[in-house]
Amino acid sequence: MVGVDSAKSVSTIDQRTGVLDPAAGASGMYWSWNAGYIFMKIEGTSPQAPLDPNLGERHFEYHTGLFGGFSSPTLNNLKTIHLHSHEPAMVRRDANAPHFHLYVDALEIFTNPVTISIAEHPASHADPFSATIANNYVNMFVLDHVHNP
Amino acid sequence: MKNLILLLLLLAVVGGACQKEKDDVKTAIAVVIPDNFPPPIYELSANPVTPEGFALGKKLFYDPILSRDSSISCADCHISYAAFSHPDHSTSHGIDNQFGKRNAQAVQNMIWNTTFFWDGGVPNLDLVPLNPIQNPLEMDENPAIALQKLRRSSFYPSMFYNAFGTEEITTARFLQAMSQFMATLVSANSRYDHFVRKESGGMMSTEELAGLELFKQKCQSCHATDLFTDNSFRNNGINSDFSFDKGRNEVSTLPEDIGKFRVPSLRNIEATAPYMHNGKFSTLESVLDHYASGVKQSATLDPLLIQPDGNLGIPMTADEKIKIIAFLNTLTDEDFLRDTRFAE
Repeated sequence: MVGVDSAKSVSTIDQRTGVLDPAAGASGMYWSWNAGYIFMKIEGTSPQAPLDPNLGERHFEYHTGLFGGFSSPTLNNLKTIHLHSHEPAMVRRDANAPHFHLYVDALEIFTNPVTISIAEHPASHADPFSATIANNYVNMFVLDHVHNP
Repeated sequence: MKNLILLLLLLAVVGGACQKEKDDVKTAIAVVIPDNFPPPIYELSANPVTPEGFALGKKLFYDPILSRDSSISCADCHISYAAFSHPDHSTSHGIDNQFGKRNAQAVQNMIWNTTFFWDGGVPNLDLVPLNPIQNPLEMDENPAIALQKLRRSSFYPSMFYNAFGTEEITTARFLQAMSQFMATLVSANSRYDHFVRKESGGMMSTEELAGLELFKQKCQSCHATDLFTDNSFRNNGINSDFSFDKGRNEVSTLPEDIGKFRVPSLRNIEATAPYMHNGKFSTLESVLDHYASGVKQSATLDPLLIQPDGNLGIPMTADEKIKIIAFLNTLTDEDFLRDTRFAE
């Protein structure tokens, strides 16, 4: 799954530890105003982006989240992806878990399958356009190889 | 060995004295569920209020250390004598004198809220403080850094020890302490409460009773139950164009939520001016004038504000408005507004 599943997204504060701790592991990846985790965050400059007078640069930013809402429905950007391995992963009781190494091509966020115009969409947070971004970024993961123990 | 036994005995004596004092404070801050309220939403059993947790939560609520430059505390915009709202401020000034875009809401009866903030973006009381702490217009602090500041303080670790039995300051303990303070902010001792619970001090005048009847006819479908809110999100016709603030839509992304805001409680309404999500009205008269003749049409306007003949708003005569306001003023809970346990 790409994102934080809905059960974890509505969990009580004592369950939000480690990478789900909004003031530790998930710092910067949690929406305090729209309680939920940010699944994908990319920010930067682009000559296509409008000049941000506060930052003094041509800034774009996409923060994509939304797990479907805790009380009434919202957009749901949770995605499940299946990655294929060319080699078997070995699990052994007496050894560490195998390591899966992913290649992540950030360009896919902007191109696959929908080409995104930064000029038209310099920013996206909790908005309908986030669905287009999420449908693209699920295609950026490739399972490159497996390290078996 | 002799010395050790003596020390243990001393501890026992001191421990006994502490327990007695603790019991006294415990009674003093217990969260009492009023008879005329529904069961609370917040799981008090998962975070039982203790005197030490309450004291820690209160200290945090009043401490500007939670803001980026230690200039703004929660209490700066949530003032006890105004039911923890911000009197005379349509919107409040946060860090660097920046103004937010919504009116600071009262902090009272929080354990009955199904959602928090005008757009309902937060579902649980424990997650509420993260929002103003992180908001760049309010306290503009990274909660991870705020917790680091608490860990470095000369007294917070021991306050956490007293409250939770460990000096380790975690996100959960920090937020649970704040919840313990907010959970105790129960307002249920207005003259109206004494009236409905048939207690002494519940005398209502003829005019106030007439206002109550009018309120039931004209206002109660949204301001429901003795919490005076149905916890729903509605467009009350305050604007026809919501491009500045789309309300509930900003968290749900749904077009049908544009211009909808959470129905606020009317408890202590006399003390919580100005009114509406943007603080547009400074008097109750102007609020009722809005509902009687100022409602603006838009795609998501609440159907309850469209009369069968197509006219907008809730018909009210001048006399009816006076009576409704007389009733609304019986919702003022002086015990709560002047409670020294909650004030700084």
